Amino acid sequence: MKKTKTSYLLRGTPSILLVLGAGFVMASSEDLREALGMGAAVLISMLLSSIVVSAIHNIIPAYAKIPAYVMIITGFVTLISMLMKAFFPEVANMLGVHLAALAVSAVIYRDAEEVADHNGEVKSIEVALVTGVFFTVIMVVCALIREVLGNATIWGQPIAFLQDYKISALAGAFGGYVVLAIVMAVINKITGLHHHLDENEEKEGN
Amino acid sequence: MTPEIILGIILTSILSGNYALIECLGTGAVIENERSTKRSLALGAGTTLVMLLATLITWPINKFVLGEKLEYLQIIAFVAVVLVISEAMHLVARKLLDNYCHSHFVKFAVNGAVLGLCIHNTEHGFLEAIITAAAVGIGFTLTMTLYGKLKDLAVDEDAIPASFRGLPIALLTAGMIALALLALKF
Repeated sequence: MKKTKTSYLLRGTPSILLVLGAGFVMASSEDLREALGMGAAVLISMLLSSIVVSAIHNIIPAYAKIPAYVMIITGFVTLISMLMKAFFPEVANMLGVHLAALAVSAVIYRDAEEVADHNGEVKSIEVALVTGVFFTVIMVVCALIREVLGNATIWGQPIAFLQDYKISALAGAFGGYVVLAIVMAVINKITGLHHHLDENEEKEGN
Repeated sequence: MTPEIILGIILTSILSGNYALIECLGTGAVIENERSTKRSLALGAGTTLVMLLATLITWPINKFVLGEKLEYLQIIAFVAVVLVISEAMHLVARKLLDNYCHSHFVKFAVNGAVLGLCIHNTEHGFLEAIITAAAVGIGFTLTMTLYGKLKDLAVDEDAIPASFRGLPIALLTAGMIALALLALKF
């Protein structure tokens, strides 16, 4: 299969990425504003760290790669956290500790280690953009479902006719798991991802 | 601090305030866990030790060095401390940890649960922070072990709709456990 942007998202990558990023996806998909804030934070930190890692990976010795990459990502996450507190304090408050936890997120680290460390700037930027946009879309979709059905609000504004029908469980931790599972199953159904995974497993088995 | 408060902190951290399942910190490490019970327990013990040592160091750093003036350096300082502790543990017991972890221990130990715990603990007193660290570590270990054990159970794959196989059904299972733990919230 030709390795295009589409194939990157069809080769089982979403499942792996979503396992690694399940925590921040669920934690920041209670509210649409939160989801967009976290989406922007993931996209920007992944993009900037990919550019820096792909530019300097040759001069970092192998034994120092883990701490070096983690500190590069942490630097950018700190920067984003400060900017968010200054310009979007409400969103920063909503995200709380999860914004800081992005510094040690396996998704961003994986992108730095497996993509930026082995490729040039252009390829790294391309993959970081695709991954960042993918996470933002997933979080926005989950947030829309959870905010509208769980809280009967949208962008923090109450939806009058839904007030008596809200499903409070969707707004909590349980809702995060259920909604993400259903969204992932829909993606699998649409893209036929489970067929790709089955084929890959068969090949690996051989 | 009364024994009732200590018991409350321990039960909350392990059950209704479980970091991996309820607080969504370090969830990836739990969901992807396919290790045996022995390996899960050993790795959980390692992570608990990292949590305890990290709290022992980050709490005084936040109180006496960073304060309110240098609060913006909190994430960088805490990540650096967690990295140093994990690397030091890896140096001391490299073979043992890599054997249990199946990959680099530092990559596993530097996770959202450890960093989130250090940040949450700055709001508590020192003794409370230490007890919370130990209890959160135990809760993380138990969840990871339980989840690893669930993967061992024989499941009829055909009973699960094709698009729900893999991650979606794993997430639904975690959701059910989270719901059960939330029921213990008073």
